[in-house]
Amino acid sequence: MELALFVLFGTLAVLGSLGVVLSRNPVRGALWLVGALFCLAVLFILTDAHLLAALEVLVYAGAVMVLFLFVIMLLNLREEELGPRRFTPVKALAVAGTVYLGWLMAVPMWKAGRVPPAAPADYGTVEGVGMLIFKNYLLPFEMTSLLLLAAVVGAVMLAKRRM
Amino acid sequence: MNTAAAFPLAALVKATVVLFAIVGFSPVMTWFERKISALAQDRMGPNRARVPWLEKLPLIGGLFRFLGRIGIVHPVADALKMITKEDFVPDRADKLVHTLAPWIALVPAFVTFAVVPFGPDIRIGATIQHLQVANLEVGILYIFALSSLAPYGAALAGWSSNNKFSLLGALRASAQMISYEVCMGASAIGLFMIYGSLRLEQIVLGQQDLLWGIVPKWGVVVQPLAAILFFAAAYAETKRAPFDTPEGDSEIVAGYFTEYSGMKFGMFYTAEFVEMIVLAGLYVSLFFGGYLIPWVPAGWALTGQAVAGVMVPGFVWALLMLGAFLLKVAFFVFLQFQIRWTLPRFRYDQVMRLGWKILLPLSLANILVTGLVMLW
Amino acid sequence: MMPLALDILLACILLLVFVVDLLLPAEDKRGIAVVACAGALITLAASFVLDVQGTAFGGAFVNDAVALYLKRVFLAAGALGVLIGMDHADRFFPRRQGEYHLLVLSSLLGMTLLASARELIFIVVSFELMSMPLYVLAAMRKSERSAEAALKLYLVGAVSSVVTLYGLSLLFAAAGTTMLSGVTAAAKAGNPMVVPGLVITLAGLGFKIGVVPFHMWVPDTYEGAPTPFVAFLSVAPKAAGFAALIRIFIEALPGQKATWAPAVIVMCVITMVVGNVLAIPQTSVKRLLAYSGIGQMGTMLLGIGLVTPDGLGMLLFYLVAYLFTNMGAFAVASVIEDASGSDHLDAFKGLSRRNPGLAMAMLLFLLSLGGIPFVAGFWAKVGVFVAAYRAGYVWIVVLGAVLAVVSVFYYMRVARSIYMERPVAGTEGRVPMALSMKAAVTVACVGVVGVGLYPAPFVETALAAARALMG
Repeated sequence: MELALFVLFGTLAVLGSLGVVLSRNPVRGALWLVGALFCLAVLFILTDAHLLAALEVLVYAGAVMVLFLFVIMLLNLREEELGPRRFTPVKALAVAGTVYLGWLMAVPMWKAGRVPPAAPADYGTVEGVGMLIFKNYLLPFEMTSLLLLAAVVGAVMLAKRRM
Repeated sequence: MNTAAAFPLAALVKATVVLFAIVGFSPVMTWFERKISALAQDRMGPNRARVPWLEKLPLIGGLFRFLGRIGIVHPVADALKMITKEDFVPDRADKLVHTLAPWIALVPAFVTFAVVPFGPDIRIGATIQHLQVANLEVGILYIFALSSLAPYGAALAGWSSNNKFSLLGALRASAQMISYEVCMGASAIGLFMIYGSLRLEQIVLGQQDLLWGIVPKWGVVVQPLAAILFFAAAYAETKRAPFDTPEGDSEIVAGYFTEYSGMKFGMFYTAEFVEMIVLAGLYVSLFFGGYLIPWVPAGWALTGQAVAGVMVPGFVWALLMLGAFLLKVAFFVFLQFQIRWTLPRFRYDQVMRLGWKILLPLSLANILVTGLVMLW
Repeated sequence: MMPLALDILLACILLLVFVVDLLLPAEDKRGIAVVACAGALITLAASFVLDVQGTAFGGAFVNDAVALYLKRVFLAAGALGVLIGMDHADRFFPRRQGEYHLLVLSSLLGMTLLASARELIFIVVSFELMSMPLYVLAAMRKSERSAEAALKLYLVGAVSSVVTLYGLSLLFAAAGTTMLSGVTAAAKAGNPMVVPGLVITLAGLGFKIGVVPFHMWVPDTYEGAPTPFVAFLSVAPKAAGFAALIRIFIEALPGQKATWAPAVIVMCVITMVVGNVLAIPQTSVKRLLAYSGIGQMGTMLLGIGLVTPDGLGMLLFYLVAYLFTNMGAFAVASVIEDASGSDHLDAFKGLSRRNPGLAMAMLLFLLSLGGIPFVAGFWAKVGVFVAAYRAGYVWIVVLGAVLAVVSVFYYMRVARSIYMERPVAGTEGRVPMALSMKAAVTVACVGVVGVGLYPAPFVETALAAARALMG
């Protein structure tokens, strides 16, 4: 049952990501990404990391992607403005590069093939993640708040007209 | 944990019951809303829709005539109208997204109710059952996660319609919902700090303690500011007046669902009512003791309790608590209607200012003060 | 004293800038720059006074000799950068000075933390804290060119962040922990995911420091962004990129050097050649400095690629020399640009008559960039090439010598414009300079000459730090 669900949602996640890359319409692309994120959330649930799953949907699908969509909608590109679909050497190169990179990584991973260590008892629980964030990773966490502060200041300033 | 074992039959039954209850309630709510709007505007309200032949029957015909007179047949007529209306899709719309959008609006609204506990633990045979579809550890985060998806319905509907008014409405809707989500989440944090859990079940049970031996430790007592902020933010999320700028019928026709007709429009409409029920259920669970009756411990539903020498069995208590929950929810649904028909629409900039400059700082301050008080 | 003291002090100063910005009237906000500059200087002084050596957060944060050395470089660059930008900010965005200096300081904080980071998530977050403000700062002028510069910087930065993250995630997958010590252990155990991980990480960081083939954004960004900011951008973030390279590659993965060192050497050779050759035809001084800066990056990268204590030590020393030299050169370019509205070579013509002091300073910086004895840049270049010679890379030393001659050629083109040509009609008057700019150029000159005359203390500290790190 778990394996079946994993295969199903894993495949859907990959298909969703492909959809992001291949869809011409940016709004559709964003929707594919939302779908892929959902599948990832399901995968998190399968590993019992319910908090991560909820945060995945809440933060990525619910907040980040809505803002994405918001911006794309404001730009409001139409099919005609996107230009005809063309197959350029650069794209071929990109595909080849991706395949090569995938091969480069897949082989060692396949060879490694080791079973990862068992997850700790509090894996993915609210307490477990909370302890990680506020103890082991307190410093990066606090720095993220400064990063957000800087980003907010920057964004507000870029939007101001009077310098 | 075996995922398969997490969905036993009981959960399926509960899910079905809750789903049908919500679906059943929303037409009743349309009637309720019409009556309240009539009350607010000093009118009679709906009273013309009749049941054609059944009224002429002997005996029960009088009942149907009565139902027609109080207007409760109206929702049925409405539903019939919407289902049979032409489903019009604008010529240059994005057909797929246009069809998908109402579903995206409706489904998250429905499944949100799963984690709201609507009654105490009861004993059925040898097992103890929670009256809650899913008791998730992340509890309320699940609700926030799903409600954070709500903007998609509006945004996609507006975008796919290929209409300026729709797009404007969509932009307003998504901006407004993102803004108020932040405040909604932030204002609930104080509660998590006090009750020490994200599980709604735990939060409700935490509210059966008594402060100073007399006052029930309801959320509204220990977090009065958060209670106001949360209600305002959650209410704004439903996009109803005075927060209905995304629809803004005097400015942008009907906002993001300008180009919707028939049952697709009906789905948006239903989603709105479902959101109201969920809001009321959630709000009651967080701030008004959920299914709890003041001074009655939830445990009585399991053990039974003698009152004035008469033994009252557990299931009676359970039914009473279920009734209390429904009553509380009904009250907050009523309150939402009352607000809707009392206040005029905010201007768009006022909506934004209220969200970012008043509600959000207040809810952050609330967290700070709560933390300080708890430390001290 | 706790190891985090310096960074916390800097964070407090950052927040103080925020408050000061609130208190000052909108018409005159020059005080903020003073606070920011003084703050960076105080932190720099504190790094000498306080004992901040040690580790925190289970080894995720470390203040060893290299970290302290780099922190001092960053803080000096930050203080000098604020000083250079003081007058420009007051003239071109008077109401947004607070934000300008706040962003410079937050970028600086990201750098000082990055120098101490020995844990993957920490590295990523501090890198972002460093980069994010830079994107905004590049767009400060709000002209089309400034926006283009910022957009290029942002896109490259975002892509390189993604690539770096991807590489780091592979390293994490190999190690099962985010601590770099775990990565070292995984590499020792021969985990096959380490190699792809480190290659991709190297590519990502290569973008950040702008080595060939990831250099395309550098000239355009330098040309369009506000020049005083470019002075900061051309030095401090690059040094921070090296800090990350040092932590990930030299400290955590010295055992894998057979894999990555040749790649780094190839990158640095190509970078040296491309940077120096492309600098020749430039007529915009900022673009010229950008390409020459790419060349300098190549030389510095050699310090990583050698994987010897000498090489690393000379890289650290090079950073100090480069700091004073390059920031000084961009400061002069900024003065000229603000006076004449252009950074074309023509704008520099006859500078010796229009402002002899400034001309002298620019000459010093150009000499130092070219590696002429006895200014700071000379010892830096000599040091790196001696280290390369000792490591057995004779051909690189020869190539470096040839490229040094090439670089002297194009640097002297600027010097010729300054000293040998008449001012272009209409620009004859004296070039005005604000007091803060005078101070900044003087500091840079003193640095270039001082390090040139007494390199010993800097070199010794750098080498000691490098030896302590590499054992």
